[in-house]
Amino acid sequence: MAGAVGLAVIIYAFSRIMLAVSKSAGPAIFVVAAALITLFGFLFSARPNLRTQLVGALCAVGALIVVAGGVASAAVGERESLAVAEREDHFSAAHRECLSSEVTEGDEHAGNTVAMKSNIWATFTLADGQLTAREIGGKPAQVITVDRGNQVSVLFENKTSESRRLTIYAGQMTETVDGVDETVDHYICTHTIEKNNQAFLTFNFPAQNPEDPYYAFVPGFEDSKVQVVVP
Amino acid sequence: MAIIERPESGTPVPALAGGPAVVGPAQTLGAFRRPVTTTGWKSWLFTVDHKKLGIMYGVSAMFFFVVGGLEAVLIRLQLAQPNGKVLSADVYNQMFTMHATTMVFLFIMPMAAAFANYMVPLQIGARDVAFPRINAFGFWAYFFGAIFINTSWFLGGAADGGWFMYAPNSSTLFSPSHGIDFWVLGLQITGIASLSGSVNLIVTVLNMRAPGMSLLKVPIFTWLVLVTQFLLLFAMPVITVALFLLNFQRGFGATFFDTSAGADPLLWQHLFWIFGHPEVYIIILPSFGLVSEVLPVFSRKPLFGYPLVVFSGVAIGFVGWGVWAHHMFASGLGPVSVAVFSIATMMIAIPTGVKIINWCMTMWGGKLWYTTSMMFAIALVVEFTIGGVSGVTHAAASSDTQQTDTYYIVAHFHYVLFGGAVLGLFAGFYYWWPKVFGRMLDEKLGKWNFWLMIIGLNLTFGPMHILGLQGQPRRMYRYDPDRMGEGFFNLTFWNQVATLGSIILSVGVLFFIINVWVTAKRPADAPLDPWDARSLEWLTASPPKEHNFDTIPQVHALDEFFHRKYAENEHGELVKVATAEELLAAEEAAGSGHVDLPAPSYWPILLAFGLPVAAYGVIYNHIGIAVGGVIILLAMFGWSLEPSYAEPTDYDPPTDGGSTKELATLG
Amino acid sequence: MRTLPTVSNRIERVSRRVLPALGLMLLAGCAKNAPQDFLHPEGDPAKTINTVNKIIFPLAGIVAVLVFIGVAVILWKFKDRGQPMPHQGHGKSTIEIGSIVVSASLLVVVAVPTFSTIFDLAETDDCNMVINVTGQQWWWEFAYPVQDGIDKPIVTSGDIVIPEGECVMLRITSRDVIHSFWVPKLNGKKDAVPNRVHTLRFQADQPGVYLGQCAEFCGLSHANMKMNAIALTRADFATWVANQTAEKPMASEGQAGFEGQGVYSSYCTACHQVDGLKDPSGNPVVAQADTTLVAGAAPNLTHLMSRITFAGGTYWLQTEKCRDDLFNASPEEFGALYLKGVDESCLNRIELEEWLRNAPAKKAMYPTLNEDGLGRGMPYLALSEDQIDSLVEYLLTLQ
Repeated sequence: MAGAVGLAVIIYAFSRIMLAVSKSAGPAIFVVAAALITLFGFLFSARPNLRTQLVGALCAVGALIVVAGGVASAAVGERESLAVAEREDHFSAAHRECLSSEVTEGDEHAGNTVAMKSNIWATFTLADGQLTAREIGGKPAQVITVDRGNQVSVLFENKTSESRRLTIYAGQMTETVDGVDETVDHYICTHTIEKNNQAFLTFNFPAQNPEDPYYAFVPGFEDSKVQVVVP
Repeated sequence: MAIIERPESGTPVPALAGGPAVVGPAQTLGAFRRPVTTTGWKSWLFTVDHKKLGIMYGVSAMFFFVVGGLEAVLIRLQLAQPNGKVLSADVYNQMFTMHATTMVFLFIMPMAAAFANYMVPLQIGARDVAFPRINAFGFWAYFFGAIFINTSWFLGGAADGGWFMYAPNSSTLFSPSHGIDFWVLGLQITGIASLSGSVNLIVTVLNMRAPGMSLLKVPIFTWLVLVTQFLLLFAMPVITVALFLLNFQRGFGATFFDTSAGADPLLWQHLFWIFGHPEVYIIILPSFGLVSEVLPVFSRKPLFGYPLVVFSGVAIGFVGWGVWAHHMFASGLGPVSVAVFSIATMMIAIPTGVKIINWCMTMWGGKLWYTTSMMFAIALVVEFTIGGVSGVTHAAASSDTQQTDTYYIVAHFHYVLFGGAVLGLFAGFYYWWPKVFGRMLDEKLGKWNFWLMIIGLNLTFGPMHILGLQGQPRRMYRYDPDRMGEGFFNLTFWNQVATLGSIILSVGVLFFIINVWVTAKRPADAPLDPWDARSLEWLTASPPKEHNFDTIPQVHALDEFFHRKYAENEHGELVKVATAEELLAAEEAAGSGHVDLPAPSYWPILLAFGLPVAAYGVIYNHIGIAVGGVIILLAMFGWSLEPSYAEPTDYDPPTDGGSTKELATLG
Repeated sequence: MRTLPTVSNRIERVSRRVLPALGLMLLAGCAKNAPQDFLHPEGDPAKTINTVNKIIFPLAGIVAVLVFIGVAVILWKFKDRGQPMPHQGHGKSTIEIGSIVVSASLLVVVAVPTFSTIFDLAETDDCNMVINVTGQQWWWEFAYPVQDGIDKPIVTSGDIVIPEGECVMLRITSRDVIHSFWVPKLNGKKDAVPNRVHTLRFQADQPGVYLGQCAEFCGLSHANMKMNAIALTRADFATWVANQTAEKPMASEGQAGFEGQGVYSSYCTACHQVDGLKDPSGNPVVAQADTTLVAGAAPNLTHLMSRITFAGGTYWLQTEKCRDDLFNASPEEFGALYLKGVDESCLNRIELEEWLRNAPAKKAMYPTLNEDGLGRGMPYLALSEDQIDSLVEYLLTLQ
């Protein structure tokens, strides 16, 4: 029981440290810690005659360092970016202001985190204030036809000098505000990405919407629209 | 078992001398007295003898061969008509899934394990495998896992996703019954058996060879078994991971293959085939080893290019890892990957082709004796060639996009697996039956068995080439006569030929079973060396004594046994200088008289029994996991606290009450 | 030493008889006019593949026959006739190295054309039309995106209609499990994988029907998931597009199919879309199949009678006679006959009515709803005979 509590304290302390240090320092700490553990493990096993007290003392010192680091880190608080994200509630889906191009906290290397680049339906490119879309195997156009009732993933490439996001108008939806049902425009969007970066957007339009067609645009360039046709 | 010189007083068994103090087996966990019987059903349940386990592997695998065969016949009966009514669509899908699963995991692999278990220690002059209790555990894990999978038939239906179980069709959304859960967990359990078996045999072959047997003097069957075990060692973890992912997805809501959560279903295909392609070689290499033993014996010549056969086996073992994506040429990998895997696949044809040529050259210039065993071996060379060249046709990726998932593929891999692996196993049955049971299988019935199987095989799988080339896809419970072409030789006709062939094939297998029955009724009067054989396993009695060899033989040559029997005279002619009986008598006379053998144990079977209990728990009620876990834990503790050698006090005292120095079979 | 009776050697005799017979079976045993026979391709990509086939199949055959002959010779020549024990030689390195060199060089002959065709077939830049192909349990949807010559999207199923002699790029994906799109006479397979989009060259050299079916096991009714490629001349194709994109008015009271339209509106619109159908208040009726089906879509029936199959290609929409006429039509006559559609005289009324009466009995499906309230396939609708009759009348108007 005591062992479990002790283990939990160490794990919690370590997590505080990892949240406090900068993003690049995190992996370095991890590598060093792993190397130290391996090294000491090796030493202990190579010298089985080592006195138990010595081994115990070394382990205790290690644990103490981690716990102390954890306390210190907890006092300093999480790293700036995470703190901002927490304050602005980035982790909620509703956080995204699809109609603004305001830069909130975003991933600096968004393109690196986009997997499945070969499986996208279309690539939207924003260049010179003009948004165009190119479907797989197709040519740049102002209209794309997506699959109805299927998950469709598109890629947004920002070739301008500012941070931008791609927004798709997805028809109207009913939202309950203060107990009253309201019909509001429904938008989905990527987060804002820096220039020459990419972001991924996945959506699913179950059926055609003949009266009120879907379209994609970039906030700030509302004139340049790409029609999203659902057959 | 132990064959020991009974100690005069209570001196400890030498194996324990100097070791740490352990709990005496009689007091292990305070529960059981160690099993020591040599006869009756208990001697089989708790045995750790590689020979008994080999026989048990063989009998169980044969049972599942019959099960899988009946499944195949049902499939063929369904397809005898375009709109067959023998099976419903649902049951048909379960049937072909379980046919493949049964044949691959529950028949061929364990049957190869049967031969490996029995013959490898004998061929290398060892007294048992390196870890006899793990060996027993492996068998029971396979046995319980196999039964576990097949109980799904009675518990709401078997797995229905095909043996390749492609995601996302294997998720609960598309396969709500428990069939796939049974499949996943059952294969997990049999996988444990394969993995523990592979470690065991690798250690055995590398460490326990008779003095003088360098690696290039190891009999070819043992060599190819060794390559197979390395393939298993590396392939099983991959499928284990894949099965865990699927298990977590189905049982605990993980989303590894859930496309609505953004998963890429090709992940499963890569994992499955990284296992699945080496698996093909795991299946075929032991049979290659078998015919490489049989052909030289009945040609009265050594294996042609023995080092080349060894190295091409090793080469297959390596290149086999770089060709998995040839199962995925149509799945949208992109042209570069497809081209690379296409070329790699063609490369693997080279070592395979080399083997065919080596077998032919082994027979060339020989003195061929057409026993049933030899005929099966020759048939393997011929039938496997058909499967081999059709394999080259789908190594060409662009051509394969037309062939894949058609009956042409079904034809190909049945020529490889039946024409290759299974014929090899039958060659092994006829060749080693007198060694294992001391009785010769009837040659006349054997010929019936052989010809019916060969005719049935070609009638069943030959027409499938035509079916596939003309566009009949696999895994269809019905087909459309409008798409089957016109004329007498339309595809319905060929489907019916295949059905007829499958029945002939079944009759052929029935003849084997009859043969076994008839043989078992006869006296055990097989000659000691009926085939004038070449390798070490014949340098002992038939069936072998429990301790295999009275003296561990000193090895001087590849084909050691043959070279002890024959020598060149002054004219350079080969003449017989000793008979097998004389050699055996010499070995027995030189016996040291004191042999320690590992003693039977309750723990392997108990530990293995815990696995399906836990697996039922995963499916039905998580309390079962705890129950199974407790059994497993208990068995592990019992196992680890029990010394592998029984102390003399565990055995009943000699009947006359006094001590003796006689050689006695104990335990 | 010999303890067994010598066995007469039948192997070489039988192999001499059986093996050529097997070869003959392969050559002569093929059905006439097998519609899915890929060794007789009728489209450019399939012909490209066949150039590889023409090298690799004969080569494979020759190698096999050489081995058979070799084995037969050995079995006859070296049979035990009481000759002395052979020399215990372990091999000849020349033969061993030679065998490696020969098999490697044979493979080079195969590898070179394989390599080039892989990249040729992956090319789609020269295609001047795109069709989106979506597989789901257990039917194919073909959607024609807005592009040159098509200004409104077309959604159809069962029949994929293409202009003859032109490269069409298919963009293939799936809504549920993995399927594989395969029209053997036109090109090899390409898997339809959910969350992935794969492209495939597709081309037919002459007007006509080319049959195909799903080739990747996709669950219960995999055997019933079929499709037909229909190639039309450019002019006929334009006519087809015009018909598919034209606004179709609803049947009004007194017109044929009016009653059936009512039945359709109450029983079918939850899943099946018919463009142009409006509810009493004049709003377009849009099927929301995602609320009832796992795949999230059911076939669009707007122009059902312009197709030749129904129920995911499981059943022919035409009677056998009309179908034979269409299938045996010359390339010149084919287009007009196809564009005629299915009229009352040609309708395979029996099977269509059986389908409407109890769909799950005609095709294995999972219509029972899962815990999310979604089913797979068309459920039993408990329609009366009158309703079925009037529904068929209505469906006949969907030309």
